[in-house]
Amino acid sequence: MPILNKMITTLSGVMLATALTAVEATTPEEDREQFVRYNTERFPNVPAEEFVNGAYAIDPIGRENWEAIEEFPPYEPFIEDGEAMWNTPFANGKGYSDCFPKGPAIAADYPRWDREKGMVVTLPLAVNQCRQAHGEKPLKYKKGSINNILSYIAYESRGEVTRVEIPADDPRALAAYEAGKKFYFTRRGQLNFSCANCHLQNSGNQVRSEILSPPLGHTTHWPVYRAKWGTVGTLHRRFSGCNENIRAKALKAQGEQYRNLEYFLTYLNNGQVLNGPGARK
Amino acid sequence: MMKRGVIAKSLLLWILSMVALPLFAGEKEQAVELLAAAQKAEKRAATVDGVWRDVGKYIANAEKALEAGDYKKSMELAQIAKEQSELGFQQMVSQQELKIPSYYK
Repeated sequence: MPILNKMITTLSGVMLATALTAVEATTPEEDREQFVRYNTERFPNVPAEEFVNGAYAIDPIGRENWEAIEEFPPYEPFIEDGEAMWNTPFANGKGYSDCFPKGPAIAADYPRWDREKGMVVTLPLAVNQCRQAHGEKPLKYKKGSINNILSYIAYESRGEVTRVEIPADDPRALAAYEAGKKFYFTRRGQLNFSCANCHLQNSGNQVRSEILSPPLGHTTHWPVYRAKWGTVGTLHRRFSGCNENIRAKALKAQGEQYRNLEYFLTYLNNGQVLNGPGARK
Repeated sequence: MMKRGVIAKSLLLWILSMVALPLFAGEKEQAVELLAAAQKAEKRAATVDGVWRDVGKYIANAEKALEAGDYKKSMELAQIAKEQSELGFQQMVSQQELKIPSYYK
């Protein structure tokens, strides 16, 4: 019996070693190429430009419903409210255009590495930094009117191409990217799932009645109107929901972990066309 | 006969107060200790972002049960919270090194 136990232990060790490949140092660009290759090989019939449409690129029935929904987009009122926000001056007479002089088509500039602050700055964070700089209260990061201004910015940014940069001369930026990558592959929660378990290993498979979308294109269409939410919500709200689905305690929206995760994931989507705001089930 | 009955009842009450009440008192102390252990385990899991979703609810309900004097229920809930927190901590510590799974080639 002790020999048998030893054999089982040894075998388990070998199996575990083969299941997990020790990480080799790869550059972000190598990671991105691998990510695109994985998606295109897993879904060979999906045209490259279709990945930004998520599950609707691979699910013909869902696609029909989605196209019908897009005829009268449920996110439209949020875009209109966001435009009004953009054009309404703050109490001090300044406005969003003073913080973002390029205009509202700025979604492709985020997330970005802020050298001075030494951190990843996402678009919602930049919106609140702008508000606070002009004496306004910051908006909540998951629900509420932040989604209006983000919807307007996303709409105005449609057609722009994702172009996240990781400055080579600041190793802290690469460290933030690597932290996001580590988060993506780390199993967490009572169900012991990582982001990758659902969105790489099982993309295209069903979870209950839903099809897990290909991860290529995951960052292009935020904020999103979800039928489940009955409103528009942010990417970090979705991160929180994913973590809770696997029975992990959700982390803070716009906290360091989720910002780094967004940095990693959006970098992998470099080259994908922005098409927000989106509509999903 | 009457006197004997009264003596017997008094004796029974005395035995109960000497034996059963301390037992209950012990149960309360145990529940308080277990709850504190669960809270400590949750904080430890939080240091590695390893808290599981329902731990907070288990602890909150264990606190409520303790206040209501339901020590058994409080201990059951605190025990679950403690175990889940210990597992959440171990889960994160076991993955300190980034490993890329073999399915992702």
